[in-house]
Amino acid sequence: MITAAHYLILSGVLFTIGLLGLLLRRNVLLILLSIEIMLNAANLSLVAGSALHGEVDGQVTAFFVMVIAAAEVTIGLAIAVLLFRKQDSVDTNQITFLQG
Amino acid sequence: MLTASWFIFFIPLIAAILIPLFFHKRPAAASWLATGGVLICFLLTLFVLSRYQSFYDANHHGLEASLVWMQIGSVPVEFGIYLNGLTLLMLLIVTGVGSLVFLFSTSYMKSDPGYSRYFACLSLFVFSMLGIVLSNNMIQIFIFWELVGLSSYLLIGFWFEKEEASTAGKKAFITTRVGDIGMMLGILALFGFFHAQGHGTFNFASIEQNLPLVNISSAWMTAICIGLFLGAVGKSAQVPLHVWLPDAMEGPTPVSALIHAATMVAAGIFLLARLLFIFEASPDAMAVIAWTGGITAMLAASIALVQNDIKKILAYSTLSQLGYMVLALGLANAEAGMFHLTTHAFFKALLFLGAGSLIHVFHTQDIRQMGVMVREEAKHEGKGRFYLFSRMPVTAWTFLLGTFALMGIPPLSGYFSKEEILAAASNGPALLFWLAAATVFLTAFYMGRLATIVFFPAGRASEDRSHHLHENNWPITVPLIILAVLSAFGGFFPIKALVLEGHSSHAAGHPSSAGLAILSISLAAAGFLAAFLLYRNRTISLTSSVHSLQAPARVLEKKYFFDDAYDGLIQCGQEKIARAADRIERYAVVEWTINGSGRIVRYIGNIVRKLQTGVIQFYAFVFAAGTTVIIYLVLISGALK
Repeated sequence: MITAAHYLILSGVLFTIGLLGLLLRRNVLLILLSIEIMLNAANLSLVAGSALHGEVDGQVTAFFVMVIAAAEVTIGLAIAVLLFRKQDSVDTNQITFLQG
Repeated sequence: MLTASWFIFFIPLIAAILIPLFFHKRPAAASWLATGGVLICFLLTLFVLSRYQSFYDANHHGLEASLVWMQIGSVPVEFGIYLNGLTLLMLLIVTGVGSLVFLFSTSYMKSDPGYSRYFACLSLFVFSMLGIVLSNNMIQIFIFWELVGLSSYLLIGFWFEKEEASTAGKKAFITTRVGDIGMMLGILALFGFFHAQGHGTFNFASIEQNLPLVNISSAWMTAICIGLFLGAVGKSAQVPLHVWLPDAMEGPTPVSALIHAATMVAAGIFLLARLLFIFEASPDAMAVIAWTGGITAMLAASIALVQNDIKKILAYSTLSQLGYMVLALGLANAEAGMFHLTTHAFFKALLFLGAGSLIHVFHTQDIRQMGVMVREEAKHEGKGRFYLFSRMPVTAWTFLLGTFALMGIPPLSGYFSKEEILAAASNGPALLFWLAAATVFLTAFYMGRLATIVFFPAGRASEDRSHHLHENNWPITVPLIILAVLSAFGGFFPIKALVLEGHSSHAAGHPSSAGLAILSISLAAAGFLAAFLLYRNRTISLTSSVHSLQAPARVLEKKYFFDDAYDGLIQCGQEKIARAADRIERYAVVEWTINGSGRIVRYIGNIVRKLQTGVIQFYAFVFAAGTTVIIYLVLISGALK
């Protein structure tokens, strides 16, 4: 029997994977990918909660998150393309405009 | 009548605003706009005067109208006009003498590059003066008091490219400001007492009404009166704040005639007369006022004995005559003071304008040089002692008439008003009376000296040289003639009746006795004759030829060391304080506080900026770690509960 706990554990594992990818990877595209994984981990827990309580709120929120994720990816990829044009690289170690 | 009064109030302001805006490049139009404006004011004043008597008969009080300018708590601060006999008299003097001076200026200032600026400033001055005169409350009178200070600064420093002129302007402004502080403190202290006892008001009429109801200790009352009097001391140039007026002669001569003879210095006297009901509450303050007046009259007259600049002589003469007026007011005799103020306005404006006419022709202000020039040309033309009377008849005769009026020779106006003041003084302390009487002699002496040197120079000259002395054109001579007529007959005008308005005099009745008249006339005649005999054949100065006179002459030439004392005071006190303040400002304020705080911020910033690596994943890590810590703490605290 798959219980809510299983979903939540899977969600936590996915989130951790995404977070580690975000922190450790140096490629902008892979960082964006990691963010997607984290968002989907959150979606999974939302849907699991929805199923547990028998209500649709969680599902609705998950759809919102998907839409926002799509928008975010659009902007993120556009930034990545521009970065590549400017720097000839998508390595975050070389993107340090904000250094004080 | 009310509308006319408001018009009188604002026409000069309109002229002062329009001239710089539209007539800057058209000086002739500017001058006629300004002159016409004041003349209209004068005609309106005559109109108001003609209606006033019937109004007064019907109502038995002055005409008052005001707008509430602002409301402070329950106390309204008004902006308004208050018309009574005193106001009307001052209005007549300001606009009447004012329009003559404006007319005179149109010719006198003709070739000056600042011609339209001059008329704008002059209009502003007349506006401020009218503001003082018409004001119905303390706040308004103080505002216009300051405006008069400002416009006199502008006019004294009119030739600001001249170092002395701009310095004199500053000196006048700052010196009168010393008095103004006293005046402001007096106004505020008086208001404080009134407000604390539930009668808070700035309005003159209400103050007069409520003064008996308000309980003010006599020490405070004296302090308040002295404070208010300080304002008058500054503006009316009484000892010890008199030092600005002689220096103010750096301004154009018509300005000296208007401001420093006829109107601005009259503001102080007017204030004393307007607020006499307050001063009368403190006998000590009245004594201070009377003595200040007497001492000023004496000191200034003695300084005038040794001056050689024609305008300086007249300036010290003004000081001395103002001293007379203050003396009369200090003896609670407002009508005598105002009477003398009026006649003095006539003959002193006449003398100043006459001096201007002379300066216009001679191009010097030194009476000795004038005398030499007259002498040389008389010699050249083969004429005698009375040469100037044939070449500049209007100037010479009117100036002489002004001189006699100032000396107090009957039946000229000065005789009557001075007689009133002497009569008032004869009821006061004996020493004060003798101060005043001695001043009569000194006045006659210095005016005799001036007239003898300039108008009756000795008939021998060192060399023949022609200077082409000639009479000036009509805008200069017409005001002289009108003022001469006023100086001659001013003594017969019902000025005292206008000031008193049917009230009996505050002062005890004392008709001028025959003995007093004989005393003053003989003193004046003796002074003039002494001066004439001493100076008629003299080409070098008296003090340098008579050894025993040198020491006192030096004291007089140094003007009793007032200026030196103030200079010393400023160097020892004010300058040291200024230097200390400068050091505090430079090191404590700028170096430590301002630059120091900047340096601290920069130092901290240098440390903190190292945190900003610019590596995006470092930020992400900090964010994630922070979030984790917060969640952990929340869970821990939840578990602990």
